[in-house]
Amino acid sequence: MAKHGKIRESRSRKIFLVCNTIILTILMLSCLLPFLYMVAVSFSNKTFVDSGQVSFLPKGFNLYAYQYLLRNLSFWRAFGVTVLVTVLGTLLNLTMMTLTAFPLSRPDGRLKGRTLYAWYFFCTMLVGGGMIPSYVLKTSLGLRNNLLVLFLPSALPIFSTILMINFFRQVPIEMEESARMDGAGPLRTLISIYIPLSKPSMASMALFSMVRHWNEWFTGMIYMSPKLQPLQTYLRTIIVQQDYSQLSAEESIMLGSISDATLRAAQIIIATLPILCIYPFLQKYFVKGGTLGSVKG
Amino acid sequence: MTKRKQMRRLAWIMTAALAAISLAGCGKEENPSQTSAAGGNNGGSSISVSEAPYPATFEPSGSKADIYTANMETFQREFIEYFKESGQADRVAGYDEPVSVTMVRPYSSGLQAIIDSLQSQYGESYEENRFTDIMKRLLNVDIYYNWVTGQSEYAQKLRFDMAANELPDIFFVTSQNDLAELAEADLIWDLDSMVEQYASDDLKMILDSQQYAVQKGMIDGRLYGLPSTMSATDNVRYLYIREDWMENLGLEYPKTLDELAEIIEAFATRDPDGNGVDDTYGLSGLSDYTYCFGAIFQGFGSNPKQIYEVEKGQNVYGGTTEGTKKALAYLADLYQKGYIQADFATQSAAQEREVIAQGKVGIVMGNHAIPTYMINTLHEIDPSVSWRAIVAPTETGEQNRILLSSSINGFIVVNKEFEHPEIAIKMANIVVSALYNSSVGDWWYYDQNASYSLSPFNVFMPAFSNLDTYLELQKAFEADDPSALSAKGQSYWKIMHGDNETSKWAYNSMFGPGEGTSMSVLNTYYQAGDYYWVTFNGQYNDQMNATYSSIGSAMNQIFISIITGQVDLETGWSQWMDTFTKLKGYEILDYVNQWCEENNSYN
Amino acid sequence: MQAVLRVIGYRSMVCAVSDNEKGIDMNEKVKWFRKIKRELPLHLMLLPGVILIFIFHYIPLYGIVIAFQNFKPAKGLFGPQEWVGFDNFSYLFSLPNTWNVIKNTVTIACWKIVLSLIVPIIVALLLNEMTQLRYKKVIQTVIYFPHFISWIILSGIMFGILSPTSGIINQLLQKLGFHAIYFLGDNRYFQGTVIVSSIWKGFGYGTIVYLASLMSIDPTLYDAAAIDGAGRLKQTWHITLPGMRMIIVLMMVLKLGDVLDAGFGQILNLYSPAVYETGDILDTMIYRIGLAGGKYGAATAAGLLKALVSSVLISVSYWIAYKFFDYKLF
Repeated sequence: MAKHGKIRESRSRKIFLVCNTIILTILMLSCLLPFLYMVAVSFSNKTFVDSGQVSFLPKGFNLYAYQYLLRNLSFWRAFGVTVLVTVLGTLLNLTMMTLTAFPLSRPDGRLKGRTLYAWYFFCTMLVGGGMIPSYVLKTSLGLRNNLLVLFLPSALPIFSTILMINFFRQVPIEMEESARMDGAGPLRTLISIYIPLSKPSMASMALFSMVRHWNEWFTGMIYMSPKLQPLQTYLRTIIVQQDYSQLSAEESIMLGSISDATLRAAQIIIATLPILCIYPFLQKYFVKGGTLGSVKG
Repeated sequence: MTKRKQMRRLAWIMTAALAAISLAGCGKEENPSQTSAAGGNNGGSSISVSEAPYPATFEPSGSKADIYTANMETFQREFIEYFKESGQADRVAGYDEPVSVTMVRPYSSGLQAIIDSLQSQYGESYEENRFTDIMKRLLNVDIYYNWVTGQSEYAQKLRFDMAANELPDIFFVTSQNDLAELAEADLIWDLDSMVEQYASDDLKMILDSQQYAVQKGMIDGRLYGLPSTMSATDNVRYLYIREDWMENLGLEYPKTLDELAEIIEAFATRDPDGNGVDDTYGLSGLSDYTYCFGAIFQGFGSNPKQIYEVEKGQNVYGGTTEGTKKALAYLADLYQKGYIQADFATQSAAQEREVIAQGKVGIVMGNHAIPTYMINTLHEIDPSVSWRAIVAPTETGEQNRILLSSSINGFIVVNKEFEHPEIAIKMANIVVSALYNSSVGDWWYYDQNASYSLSPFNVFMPAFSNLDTYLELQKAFEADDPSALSAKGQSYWKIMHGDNETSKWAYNSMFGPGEGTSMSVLNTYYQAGDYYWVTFNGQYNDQMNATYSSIGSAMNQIFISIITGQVDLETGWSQWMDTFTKLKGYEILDYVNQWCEENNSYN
Repeated sequence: MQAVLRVIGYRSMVCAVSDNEKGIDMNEKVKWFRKIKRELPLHLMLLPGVILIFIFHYIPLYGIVIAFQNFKPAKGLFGPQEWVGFDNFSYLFSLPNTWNVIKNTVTIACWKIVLSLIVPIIVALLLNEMTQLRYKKVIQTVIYFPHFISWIILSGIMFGILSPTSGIINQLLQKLGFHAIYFLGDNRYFQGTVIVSSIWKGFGYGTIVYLASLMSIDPTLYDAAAIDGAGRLKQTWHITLPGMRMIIVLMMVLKLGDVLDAGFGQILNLYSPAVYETGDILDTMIYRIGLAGGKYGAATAAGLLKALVSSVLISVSYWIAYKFFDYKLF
């Protein structure tokens, strides 16, 4: 964070700095306020919320929504599923990505058919077969209602793998040479040299992977029953607006008495908190790893 | 590696190991569907008429487990007796060897909270509950659910299963189209003879009252899907007005649409809540304009989303009638004058409820259940506010006819590869009996007002179910005696005399004694015979498959822009009629007319 | 005797020669063997990925044939489906709003690409000027928050905040004397709302990437420029931006391929019939026709078209990067 050149504290510069700070503060607040709003709603009385009287501070403060949440089995089941899938999925992602990216990052000549491999993987980003054949395939593999379906098919995200290839290229080739000199095979080289040197990149890939798994809802919707559905799929069922005109009168009576904005808000807050907490942990790795490799260019 | 990172890695690895173990154990749900779909070795090929009850496999657990057991036994006893005495025993006979039946089901996500509480009270879930239990006890049938999914994804997932050849034994189909596809691909049983032979008297009676619904389940004159019928009056639209605002402004309840327009204007401009601030609208709304302005369309004799007969053999598409055009003009005029809340079209029901709760509107339109989910929040804030439901005002002031459309949840169908299609009918018999002739009917269906959602089939309702309930409740109010009420009536009676103030008020506003309730309005139409039916009940032909839904979307888009003034009436209307023609609307009507001629008897 | 010696000499020479040849052969073989030994592990490392992708991506490619069928699910994926050639494609273009949908998709996507490139750069530059280091770190952390929230949750929040009757934004607007705006329901504002909210969600990520790149620019360059009399603005233009050139190019290239991807997850959760006119994009239309409406043939055809166009665009953008910026992706 070098201060570039001599600091000329001219008047215009002072003004600029102040304005700068204000602008950035506003930006930051804009990122913070929606959460504050949700928090306020979750601690408020339902009637005040429904009549729109709640802004950033709770009105009619109560813990009802959170008490209810503690007893809400469906929420915690879904929460557990998501935690499990996120951990396993991220581990699998990192493994697959490093295993695949390393060979592809070797300079030309070191790997026969490297370009062929690269195209093989890359083409999947261009076109796909659609939902039906995917469903038929996964069902016949027995993946329906099986936790594996939530992270196995997506175990090798091509986009991130391409990024990883770039990271590995950053590492000076001499490293590999000297490892080879010492008699280490590629796998050994990967594990003992490249991965430790790529900690920032690995951390950022891990973070992306975690966020992706945590927020995944579509697959859960198609393949999982309520007992095993992930968190966002579950949340979707309570957030998505109901079309009252399509319901029978019985159903509309049912739904009317239940929909409760404070319960929704509390569940949203608890569902978001974990992933928000992970970020500061990994931040110190992340800032360096965010460089996508071409800084030296 | 830093120590912390090392520890974390270790933790992850341990978690992974644990997870792998548990995955292997219970990640995958049991799936015996393969055997039964193959129609192989269950039930044997001969059915002997055995004595129920069979040993149950479900153990209730939870705070009310003993109530469960007591009710279950009562019902069982009554059921067996009733069917024996009425000579219908063979229609509900069980099987010596247990028969496994795979099913799938949709669930209503809004009910999650109730299902959770049923879980803690009885240990029930969607997959194992009082209904699956009774099927086992009475028929020796084991029900397994392949999957359970939200209402909006149900049809989709079913289609995926169709493509993957993974259909369950007995299941529910929500669209007539899917039913037709299944029948054409010869994947489901023709149920005509099954119903003839096995349907209980009660079930037959309900089906008789719902001949239009039954028509929907027929392909080429044979019944392939047993329609899960609902009350046919649910799509009638009512107008609710705040009585206190009417009094404040000294207005009279409108009989004509012109009078209604004046009241809308008054509510918007003359400070009906008397607080000195100009903060009220004439009307609010939500994205489905035919719902939130339903009573106005009804008043003009318009039913935009329906196809119905105006003369024998002459069907029209509701959105193309003169009445619709007049309704649009009426609404556009009100909107342009600023009497309609400008952003109604993007509101959800929840937002409209908010607006009402803020005391900003005094007129609401919708189905008969509005008091339970639209004006209830306002009641919680200010219980002194009272509303009155009135007959939809018309151009002339004379009450006009309402269009009834037989409404169904969907169809019950049986996989052709399943060897015991009659089980579906028997299950239907049990489901019907639980509601209509059991002393614990309201525990079956209205436990916390939602236990019916656990049933594998939605309960079958006769066409005028809600009206019947209303009329019997009126009798009960007069005699102050609820003993003669049906299960549904009983459950409503309890709510109307119960502790929850808001529910009590809401139900009284619908089914209670006196005038101004929504059901009393329905009764007015009914007593005067002012109703007619949608007579087209066939499935979609190729043309409809191709363009019918596009016609609907185009209509919605254009109508909303007309109402909100983004395009003027004449231009918009001619655009609409153009689109209707281009999308082959008239060809579709030709097909509908033809179908009506072939299938409906005109005498 | 001499003849014998000569013969022996020749012989040994020949032997020596052939020994040498054998030696060369041996070297070749050893080299080849060593090469395999070095390469084989690499191929093995690629194997799991290859298998995974084959199963989950290449096998389902069979589904492309659906685009040419009048697909009825009941007949089964491999069943006797009716072949209709290009009928599904012509059906797509006969629908009244297809061109409109394409227009919406491209408009929204282009705005998103441009803004998502520019905004983070500007914010990164501004952040770089900050002198209070601790506060800067706080801001960096917080602006990244929206990135973590799924659109499901975010849409719920947005409907609440942007509500025309009770939302905070509109309450503020009204206090300032403006009319309430229905961001999510008015065709005039919907696209803007979608674009701005998308940028808001994602700019934190880009900012951090650019910031990292900024910080690794050699500080002596700035000193030299300052001595030459260049002000901050000039320094930024001539030093900072060029220094970030590679990253910017990379981001641009990666995003160009997304031109047809105007944000399905976001729009599906935010749109409604009232704003189909400006909000309906290719993916939501495909979703409605296919998954919701059951016309899988048409939906697959639409998906195929989209893939085709995307491929062309991606290839073009990568070629540009290669030609003009000497950047090879792999």
